[in-house]
Amino acid sequence: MESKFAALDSVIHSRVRLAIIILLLQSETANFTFLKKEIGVSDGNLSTHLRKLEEAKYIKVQKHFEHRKPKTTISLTEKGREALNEYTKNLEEYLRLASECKKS
Amino acid sequence: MEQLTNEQALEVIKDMIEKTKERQCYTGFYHLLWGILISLAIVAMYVFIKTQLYHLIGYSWAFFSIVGVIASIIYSKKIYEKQGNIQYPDLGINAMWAGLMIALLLAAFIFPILKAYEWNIVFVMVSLLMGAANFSTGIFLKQKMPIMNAILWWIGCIILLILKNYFAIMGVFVILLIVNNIIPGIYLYNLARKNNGK
Repeated sequence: MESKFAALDSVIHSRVRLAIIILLLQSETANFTFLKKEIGVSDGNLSTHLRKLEEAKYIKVQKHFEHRKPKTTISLTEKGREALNEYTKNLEEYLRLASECKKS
Repeated sequence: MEQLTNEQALEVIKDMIEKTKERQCYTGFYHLLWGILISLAIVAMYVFIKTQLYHLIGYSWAFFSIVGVIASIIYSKKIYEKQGNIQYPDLGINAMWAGLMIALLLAAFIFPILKAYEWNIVFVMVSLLMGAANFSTGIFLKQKMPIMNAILWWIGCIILLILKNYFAIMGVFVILLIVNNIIPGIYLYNLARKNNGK
């Protein structure tokens, strides 16, 4: 039998990647340092998660130099926005079901 | 691999939304900047009227408008470097004040030069624009004070339209500027410091 619920997007369903996407959802752009500070992860860890999101085309990463220092600017793509919408819709369904199960 | 339950996912979403919601990015900078620049433009205007150099009045407005544009660009770049992100309400406020700068340049420099109206009407136009800027800022920040200031600017522009004496017009305008731009600018600055825990 086919499941009533769609599986949660595995690219988004991770603490760090979900946090990145939610922070980007509220900003036009954000830089690497901002995300690192807000989420509380190491450079390497954040880079790994950003790469996964970039591979899925959920975010756009732009690298440039400013006063000879490398800067990374990150923004959410339309595909990322749609994926998050789908993810939250499915998550809501799962949570609603879990709550109904608890009640019964 | 990290395991994330659905409840934890919901917590992450809530946490990240709260983090950015708590931060107030607008620090009253544009209120203070335009309050100070327009005050300087009025001082220059007063000097030019006293010295009968009327043709320079428009250029002083243009000069201070351009200074405002440059200062705003530098400020927004610095803020982005410091914060590391541009939030949508911030983007909206910046865009709105940028629009005001262009409108100010037209209303206080180009139109009087084209003889669209006399110089006393410049104050009426600037008051109308300042009212609009304060009103939008109040809506963006969900603050009553800038909305009240917008109403005062609009009442003020009717008074300015009735007055005929140049110095009386300038006097009323300076009062409007202090009450509606300088004081709210200081208030918003202190509020941002409090909200951002500095």
